[in-house]
Amino acid sequence: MIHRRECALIAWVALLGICARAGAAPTDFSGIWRVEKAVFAAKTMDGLLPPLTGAARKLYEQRAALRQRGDRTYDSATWCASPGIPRLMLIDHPFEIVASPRQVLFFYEWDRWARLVDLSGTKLDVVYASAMGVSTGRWESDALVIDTIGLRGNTLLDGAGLPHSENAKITERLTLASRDVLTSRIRVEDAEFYAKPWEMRVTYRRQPQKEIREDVCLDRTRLGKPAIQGE
Amino acid sequence: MSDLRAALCTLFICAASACLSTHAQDSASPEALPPPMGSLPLQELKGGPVEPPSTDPRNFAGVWTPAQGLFGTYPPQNPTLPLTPETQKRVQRYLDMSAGGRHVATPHLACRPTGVQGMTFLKFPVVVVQTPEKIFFLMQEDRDVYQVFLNRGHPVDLKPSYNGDAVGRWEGNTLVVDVVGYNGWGFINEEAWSPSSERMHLVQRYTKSADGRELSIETTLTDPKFYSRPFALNQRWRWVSGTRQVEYDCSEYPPDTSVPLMYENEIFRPVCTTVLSETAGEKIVCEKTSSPAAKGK
Repeated sequence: MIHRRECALIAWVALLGICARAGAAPTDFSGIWRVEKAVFAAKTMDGLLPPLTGAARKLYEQRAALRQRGDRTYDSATWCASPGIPRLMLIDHPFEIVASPRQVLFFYEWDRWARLVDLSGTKLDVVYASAMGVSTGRWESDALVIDTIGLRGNTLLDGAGLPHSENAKITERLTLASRDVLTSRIRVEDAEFYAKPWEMRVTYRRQPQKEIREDVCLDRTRLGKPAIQGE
Repeated sequence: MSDLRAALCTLFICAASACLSTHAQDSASPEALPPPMGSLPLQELKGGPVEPPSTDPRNFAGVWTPAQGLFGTYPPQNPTLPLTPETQKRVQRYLDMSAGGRHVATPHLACRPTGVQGMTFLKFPVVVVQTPEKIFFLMQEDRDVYQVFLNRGHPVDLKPSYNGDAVGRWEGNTLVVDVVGYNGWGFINEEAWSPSSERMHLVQRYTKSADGRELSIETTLTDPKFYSRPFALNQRWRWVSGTRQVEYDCSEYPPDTSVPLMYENEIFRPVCTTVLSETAGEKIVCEKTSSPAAKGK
């Protein structure tokens, strides 16, 4: 009898939990965030160089050699082209998240780029490759999972020059570690440049600032500042 | 000026269409592709999420497009604007330079925020994202995000910017937006060289139609430095749910030195350029910068 009462209590608590979660976005990530530690050279979760294919590794090493000579022309962000996805999530510039049940806006301060992540379930075809790609998302428990495809091949995954192809798929899994700490596991699938899929982890901190300011990358570089802070 | 701009626009459309043709073969869903180039440049995509407009007259969230059509005729040609005599001379100087093939770098041509022109004349679809505190206008081209803050006034220590500082309040179901704090580098109409100064003051009144499918925007512009009196510019936007924006990355490639621009404002001079050479082909060259170079108008 006692056993039956306990079961009923557990079922009731579980039902309350389900009801409380229904109807609203599971977790509200809205606010202004900034990467805790900017990622210049992305590494795997084990701290290793991503599993580049032979040709990709050669390209990566060529870019490192250029950088050693002060030549950053392998990186289109140098002249303020969009760093694209996922790099905009790795650099030391704040971004604002505005979440709603149907979409999530990422508004990056870096040169005022915006990315809309569609949550409606609509199949969005990739009509042309772009720096931001096509992002669709879904909630998996407390995690916002974003798939991005359709990325143009002339952006980099990081400042060190990790390449990607137009067939790359980036999956971000964003979860709140606490009210002010957001973590993301970023998975890269790109058989053209990587022998197998790999993941990196990034942490963001909620910022006290209330607004994203007007940032004009080309003005900054003209004034002698780097296109990307710290790079 | 208009020829150069049209050429640059055509270049972008051609590049986008070239990408389109490359990817057309890869797509598993041919019906989602726009018609071939020539019948519809890649300015507007369908296939986005579809939903009806909000019945709330104070909710503007969603996708809108200019009611006059894409690349619609820009209304404020100079004869209709109350230019001061000094401004008229200034405008004539720019017009003469353009006629002589000498093009002055403007924010638009230099891949900077368009400012006043962007807020008073929509060329391509805009996505509106709205919260109780802010309204975001995500512009396709010139790519930008205009923010309207609903819970504060203008800061006392306002730093001049291309897009100014926009604050909004509701008067009934009309959103009244007040914009000040421009850096004075933008134009009202780059085609007609109608300038704007750091004293520009916009008041915009956004009102949604009863069926929610049209947004009327009445803008009053006051700029005593260049115009003898305040004047109005009006536009209408249509609800176009299901429309997706086309990404426009003006800076994707450094400017080509074969298209020379005059830099009256040194801040617009590019740091990196694409140099074309018969022997070496195409090369990107970036200069080393060290000192502030901006100057006012």
